[in-house]
Amino acid sequence: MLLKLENVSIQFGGLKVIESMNTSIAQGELVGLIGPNGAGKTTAFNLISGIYSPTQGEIILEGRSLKGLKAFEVARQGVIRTFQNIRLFSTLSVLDNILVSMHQRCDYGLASVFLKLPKFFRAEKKFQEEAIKLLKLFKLDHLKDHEAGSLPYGVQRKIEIVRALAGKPKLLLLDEPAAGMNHSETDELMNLIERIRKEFNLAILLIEHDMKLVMGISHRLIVLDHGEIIAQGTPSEIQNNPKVIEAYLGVEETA
Amino acid sequence: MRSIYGWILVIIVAAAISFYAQLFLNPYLQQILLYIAINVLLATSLNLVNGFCGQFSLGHAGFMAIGAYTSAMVSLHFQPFVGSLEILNFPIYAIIGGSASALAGFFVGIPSLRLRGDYLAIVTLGFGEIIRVVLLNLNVVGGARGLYGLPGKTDFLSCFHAFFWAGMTVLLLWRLVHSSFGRAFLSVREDSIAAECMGINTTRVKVMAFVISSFFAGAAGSLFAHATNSLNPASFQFVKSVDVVIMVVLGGMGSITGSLLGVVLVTILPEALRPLQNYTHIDLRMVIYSLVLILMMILKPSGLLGSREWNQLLWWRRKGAA
Ligand SMILES: Nc1ncnc2c1ncn2[C@@H]1O[C@H](COP(=O)(O)OP(=O)(O)OP(=O)(O)O)[C@@H](O)[C@H]1O
Ligand SMILES: [Mg+2]
Repeated sequence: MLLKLENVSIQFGGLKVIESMNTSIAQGELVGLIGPNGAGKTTAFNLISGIYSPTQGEIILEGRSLKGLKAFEVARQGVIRTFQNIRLFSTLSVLDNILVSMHQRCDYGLASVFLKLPKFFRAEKKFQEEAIKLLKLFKLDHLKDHEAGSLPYGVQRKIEIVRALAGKPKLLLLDEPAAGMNHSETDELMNLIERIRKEFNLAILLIEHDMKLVMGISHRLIVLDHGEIIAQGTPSEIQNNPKVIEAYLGVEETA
Repeated sequence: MRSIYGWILVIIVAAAISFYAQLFLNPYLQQILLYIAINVLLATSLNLVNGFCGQFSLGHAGFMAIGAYTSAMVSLHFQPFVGSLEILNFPIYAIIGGSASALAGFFVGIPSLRLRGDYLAIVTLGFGEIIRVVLLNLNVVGGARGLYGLPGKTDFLSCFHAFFWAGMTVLLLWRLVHSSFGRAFLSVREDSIAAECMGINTTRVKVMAFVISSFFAGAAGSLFAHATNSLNPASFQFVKSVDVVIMVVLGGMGSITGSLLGVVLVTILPEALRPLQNYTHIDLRMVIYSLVLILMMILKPSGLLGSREWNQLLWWRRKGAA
């Protein structure tokens, strides 16, 4: 197993937001994380990515506990995320946004910077080429010099994914990557997500509200409601699970 | 090889300014020119922390004081070069002063930079005042009287030395902010949580910027000590820190060339307005100075250059980027 959550809980004050979550994600797997608004999906991401530490339980990546690790250390271990409310470095260029994620692999020191040693140029060239290659994958390379914050919403969401990929994740956490996109944009994005998963042999945990979409793309689904996992399994298992229908699909039907 | 061009440019500019000063400027103007060089170190280095990292430091005068006093004390007891080579003592003093200040920056930065941005402003403000009060009460450094008879001349070589430091500071900081470290600084300013989630050790990055910044503030202190030949705690009051902040804000946070512009304006403006004072017999300088700042904040709050560098403002560059 790539990632394991063992009895993970978190509470803020007296409010229990995640309640003994037990689940795991295998390498190369695409798992959908679904649940109604306020179910605790984003909080689960905050826990896995190290922004919050669980009040109970343990998160284990490749057999090693992530306990006590700061968010940057978790990222360096290979768990990288995007954000539900886009958090790009908005006054930086698209290219610089991507390059920030590569800083962890920067092998030159201050001396190389101050004296402009060959090492500096070599690494910079490598980073730039790599970044452009990633941008090309998302057909964004022509935007590389644009200010990230000035671009349309949908484009910014894609840039966030590219930025995450640039950190060479083993596990990619996508928090509603299709929010604010239209139908064809969403379809295109989902194809891309599937493609990068195969190409980079990634595990992906995907939060997505559109049930049809997430059922179509995921190998497995985890359903959260009020901070508890009420069901997990293949899309067809989930579809017929009465608890899920009650908690989630039921809500949608009446809406 | 590309590395050399920057240094050649620094040497040419420093030499040209020094020749000009020696040939055409009276001692008073030479003094102002030296202050410009010193302020270049102060403003560009403060910009690294305040502009590029988005942290707010208010203690640059304190770091300058540490560099100045360390350098002064060393210079009174240690003169490895004598005679015509005497000038070579001064880079040594500046490096020692800068290092002392960098060390202080490390110990101030570690606890305060782990917390939120506004915390740093309070800690550095307090730090600057503590340094000044300690100096005021420390007899070995002359207390309120300060230190006198420090080595240092105003000849060509001394002027060159000061402008070489100014040029070198700009060159090194320019290279720094255009490297992976610079992008890490900016990411912290833009969104430190996102930066952290992309693997940036934000505390480390901030401390690094702070220590480098403190080094150049200390070196500036050393230049100041040997340009004025005397030191006094009164030179390092809180307003000195504020002056440097004004240069940075006026020029544009996150723009090195903007800081240069800020330095020249803030250093020259009060001096240029001196004749007005003689004419009207009232000190209008501070009034005008404040008015300029207020207008600036209303009309262009991001500073003269914003976070752009001058080369990005040229129209053909803009066209190329569009
Ligand atoms: N830091 C916090 N302090 C207090 N309460 C919090 C905190 N973070 C999240 N919560 C609460 O936890 C609950 C779950 O929030 P979360 O953002 O994880 O939901 P979500 O499943 O992502 O919902 P959505 O679909 O709307 O994005 C909410 O009721 C929220 O108010
Ligand atoms: Mg959410």
